[in-house]
Amino acid sequence: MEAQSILERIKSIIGESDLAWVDDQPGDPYLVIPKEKLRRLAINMKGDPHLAFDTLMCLSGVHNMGEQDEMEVVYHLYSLRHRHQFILKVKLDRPAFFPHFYLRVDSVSGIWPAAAWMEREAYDMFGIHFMGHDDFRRLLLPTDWEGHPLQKDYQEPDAYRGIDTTREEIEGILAEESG
Amino acid sequence: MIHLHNKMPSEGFFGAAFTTVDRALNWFRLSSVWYLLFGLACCGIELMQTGGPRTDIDRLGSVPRPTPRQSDLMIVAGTLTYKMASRLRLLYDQMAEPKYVIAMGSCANCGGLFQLSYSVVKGVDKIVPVDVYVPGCPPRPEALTEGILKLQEKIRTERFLVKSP
Amino acid sequence: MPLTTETMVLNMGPHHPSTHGVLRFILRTDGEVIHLCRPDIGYLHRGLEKIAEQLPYAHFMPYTDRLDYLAAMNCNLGYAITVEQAADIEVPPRAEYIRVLVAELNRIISHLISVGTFAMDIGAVTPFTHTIREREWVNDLFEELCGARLTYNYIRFGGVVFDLPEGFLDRLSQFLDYFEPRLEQYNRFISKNKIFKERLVGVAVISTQQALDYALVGPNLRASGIDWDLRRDEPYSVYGDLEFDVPVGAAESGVLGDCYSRYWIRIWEMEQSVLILRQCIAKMPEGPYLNKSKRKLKVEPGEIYVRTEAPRGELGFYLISQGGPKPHRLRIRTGSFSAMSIVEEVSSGLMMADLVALIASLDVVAPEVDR
Repeated sequence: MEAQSILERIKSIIGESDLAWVDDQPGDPYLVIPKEKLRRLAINMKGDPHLAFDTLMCLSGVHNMGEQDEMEVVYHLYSLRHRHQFILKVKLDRPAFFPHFYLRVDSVSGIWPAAAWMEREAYDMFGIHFMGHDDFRRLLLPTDWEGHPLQKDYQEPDAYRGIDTTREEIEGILAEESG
Repeated sequence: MIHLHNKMPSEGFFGAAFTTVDRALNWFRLSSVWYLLFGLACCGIELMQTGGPRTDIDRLGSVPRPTPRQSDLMIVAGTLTYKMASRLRLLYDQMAEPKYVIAMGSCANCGGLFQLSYSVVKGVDKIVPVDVYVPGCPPRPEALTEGILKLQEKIRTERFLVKSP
Repeated sequence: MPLTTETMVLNMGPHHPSTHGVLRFILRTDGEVIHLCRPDIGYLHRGLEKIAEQLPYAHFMPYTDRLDYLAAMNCNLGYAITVEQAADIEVPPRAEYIRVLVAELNRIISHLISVGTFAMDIGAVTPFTHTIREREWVNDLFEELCGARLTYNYIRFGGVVFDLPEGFLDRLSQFLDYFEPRLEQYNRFISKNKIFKERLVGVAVISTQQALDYALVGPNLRASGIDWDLRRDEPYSVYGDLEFDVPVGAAESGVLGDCYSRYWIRIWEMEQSVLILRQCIAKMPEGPYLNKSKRKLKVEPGEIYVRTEAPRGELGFYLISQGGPKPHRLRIRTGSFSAMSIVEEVSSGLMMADLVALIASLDVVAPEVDR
């Protein structure tokens, strides 16, 4: 199915309000949906025989610190039966106070079990909470690590458990790269 | 023998005898430096190839052991992350004296090209004392062999019974 | 009187003799039988995605080598194709053929290490020395080509960095003539070996539905019966012009999706790679090896997801650009990550020695899992 017909089918499932279809920039087009509609849409995208998105290729977190401080969760879906793909995005605001109350989205690990580890990684790197996940904890970094490294305003700690993090030799080179 | 460590005279007849015993002990030790397989990343593959059929470090007496209790040498081959650092120290502490460490590759020497990263220890010598640094990314098997030969040179000049200068 | 037993919690720690890198498993076992196996990863997490945001596009190429060091050319190729599609750079035909040639050669040596370490983990130590010997020959070829034995940094945006040296294709043909009968030798003394088969047939079966659910890719997916290969189904580079078969598991040993079929798929893939290499040698065109027309790399704001078939499965690069010299976000999706995530599901009821066979058959390398 072409992207437009998939879009029509999605609109018939979850309605037209609050959806934003972005296809005017170079690269892949994607659909931005509100986070409340994610779970119902995900169940239907897997179960509907015309859509049949049986594989979650990739689940990524993104942090944008432009005019607005927001995070996105991007779902790349693929159907082996029909050989078509689709990209969904959910945007989450990140306010300055108590951001972890707002960075919450439903987990899709009950629908696509591959999402279980990918969501843990998104939490580890960005701090996004996925509600309804079975085994929610950090994946890649040690359990006592503070902070979420892939956030754009992440500050590295000076030392981790007594091992210092200075890089004596390349401080000058780093200054040249960014300057 | 331990209570005789570095206590014997180095001059005169007994000095000559004990120096010869020292040289013999060193020769036995350097000819069978068994290394702990501690391949972490890409350098681990080159470590495996160094033990392979072409550049065979078994001819220098070095065989790989999977356990630290039976090895004299730890070749830290690859990138060390903060999560792995405590295990490195644990394994180093489990080795029996005299023990040596070779830091193989840029990542083990100083963090390598991962110095930009937040989760990499910038040099294994922040955790364990290193005897030989082998540069390269990854070092060729010949480079690692030269590192082991340099370590053998270092062992040859150690003093066990005789007083250190 | 029945004998009661208790379960114990064991740690198969990050440092262990199995050679797949620093992976840790926390096991709950009742004697030899595993009730629960939980992988703990991150011991080689080097923050590649964060590094990509700090460096210009071209400076990230050496890091893709270290992403999967056994298949460095394929990782280079995936990243290069992603940025070329994003920045609209064309690649001359000779460069395309050279890239496919080195990618397939790298696939052969990656599968050789996989087969050799698989046999070593099962207990057969000698096949490893044989596969390492073959690998040394190819290391020499690669060293002649680009100067490095393991992490090549050979592919650039728009082509490759050096042309093929004089006589390279002849030496490559000599290697292929030497290597094809070797595969038959491996079949005789490893694959059809009775002990090997008894260790692996019917062990750790991954069903077709599980493989789809957990987004397995590459040889692991094909061994569970799903006929999907990006080189044939979504061709990139010049794979559309080359003829090759895609081996799919068909329960030759009686069970679909067990460790033995995952092993067999890799042997067949090596045979197919030899065929592809011979076609590349025959069809190699003349011409430039690098598109030098674009002096400055300019990537428009937008996002793109490109996937290529690396030896361990689909390698996906999701690139978001905001128009600057550095990427805004580079997400790397690797095959070994999905393979590790299925271990917990499949391993209950296995014996501990079978767990080692499972991990070896999934062909996991630690930097792909942790990035």
